[in-house]
Amino acid sequence: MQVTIDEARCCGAGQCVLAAPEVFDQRAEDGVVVLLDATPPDGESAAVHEAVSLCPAAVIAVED
Amino acid sequence: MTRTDETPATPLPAPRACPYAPPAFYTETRASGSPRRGRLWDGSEPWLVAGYDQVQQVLRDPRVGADVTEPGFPNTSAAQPQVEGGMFFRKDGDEHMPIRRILNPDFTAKRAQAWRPRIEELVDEAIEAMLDQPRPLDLVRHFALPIPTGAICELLGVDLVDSPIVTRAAHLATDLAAPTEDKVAAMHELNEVLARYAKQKQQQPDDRLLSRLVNRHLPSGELTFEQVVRLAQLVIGAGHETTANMLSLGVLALIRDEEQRVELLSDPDTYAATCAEEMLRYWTIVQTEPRRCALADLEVGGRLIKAGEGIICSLAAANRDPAVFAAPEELDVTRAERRHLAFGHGVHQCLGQNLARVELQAALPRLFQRLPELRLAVPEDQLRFRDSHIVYGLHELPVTW
Repeated sequence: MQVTIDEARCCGAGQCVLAAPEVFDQRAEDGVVVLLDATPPDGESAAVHEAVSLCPAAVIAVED
Repeated sequence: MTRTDETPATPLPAPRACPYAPPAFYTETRASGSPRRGRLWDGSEPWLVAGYDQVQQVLRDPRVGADVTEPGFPNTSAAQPQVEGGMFFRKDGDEHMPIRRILNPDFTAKRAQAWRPRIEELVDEAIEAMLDQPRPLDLVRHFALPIPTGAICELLGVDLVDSPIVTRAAHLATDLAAPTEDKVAAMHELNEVLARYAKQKQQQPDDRLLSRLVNRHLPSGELTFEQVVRLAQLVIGAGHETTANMLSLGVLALIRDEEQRVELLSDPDTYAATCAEEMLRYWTIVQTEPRRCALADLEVGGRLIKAGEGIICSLAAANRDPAVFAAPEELDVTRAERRHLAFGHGVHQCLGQNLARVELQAALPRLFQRLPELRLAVPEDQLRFRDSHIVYGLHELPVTW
């Protein structure tokens, strides 16, 4: 799976970090999403899809 | 105003028939599948949006604005555009996001986790202080308020935990029935105290939020001194009364439902988190927000919402949408479901949500572990709920054990 993010529209709610901490983090200086793993293993699929659905600003995209 | 549907507009906020369920008008609007007109204090008729998918759609749509000074915005009072017009959380785009990102570092998922040990101490301190009080006592005053007030004051770096100024200002700010002059006076009082703290932080910097605002973002030109003070005020107000109401309602729900209480305490390490999310979903305390204004024509649930028309979303109705949640009217502390919209949605979603989560997770199981005999000290039908507030809750919760 391929994960992409749109940093410019990220509001830093942190929902993705709660859903998939192995894949997402937040920058310390402004809370904006950091993509830790753009091609996470299949085991992360459910967590990443949860992050996509929870993201309030809809800035995470996934291609399976 | 041109009406595009047949039903007469219902006055908002609509009354609740039952304290444990959203107003019928909101759930009926959700069930109808389309937004319906409500009527506000000024005679304006904004759209009520109540289905889960529709609320999510509206709050994520860039054609929908949050600016209270926008013509057609469904204001809470005549004073709202003037009082809140300058606040970043009532702005869109470049007037909103940069300020939010200044505040974000103190509210990330990881920073909230780092506060957990201190929050657990605050919970234990509140319980210890309760044990020294004569019974019955008001759980709102002795448990639900001190924990989030303590947490937000420490995060900000101000010692106002025992200050009635904070509580009064926050209470008046969210009371839709309070006179405007009282609200303004209480805000000025809090502003003066916070301005003094901000100046003190300029002399003695520390690693907390207020010091960061005044020593980094003021000199950089990103914020004015007045903005620093207003942001501090906003963080205090939004950060303690909301969580306080969630805590007292959460305690009430667990007192009322022994089965759920037993379930939670059977494995608090697992269920503290699901219980917190379920309480957020079940109560969904923000009862008259989010309010928005359509900036362009858009279609929601088959209904045309025209540019310049107001929109009010019912998060409470959305969070009991049977299309999303199984048995939505039931409280289930083991429900593994984080899709609720209790913190709103879109780029304005609650800044303090991660902190609030940790506070609920730490406080609810702990209280019942320490006081397993906790119970109401008055008949349930005598409890007074905050029907006229932006944030739902209890005026007081008399308990004994």
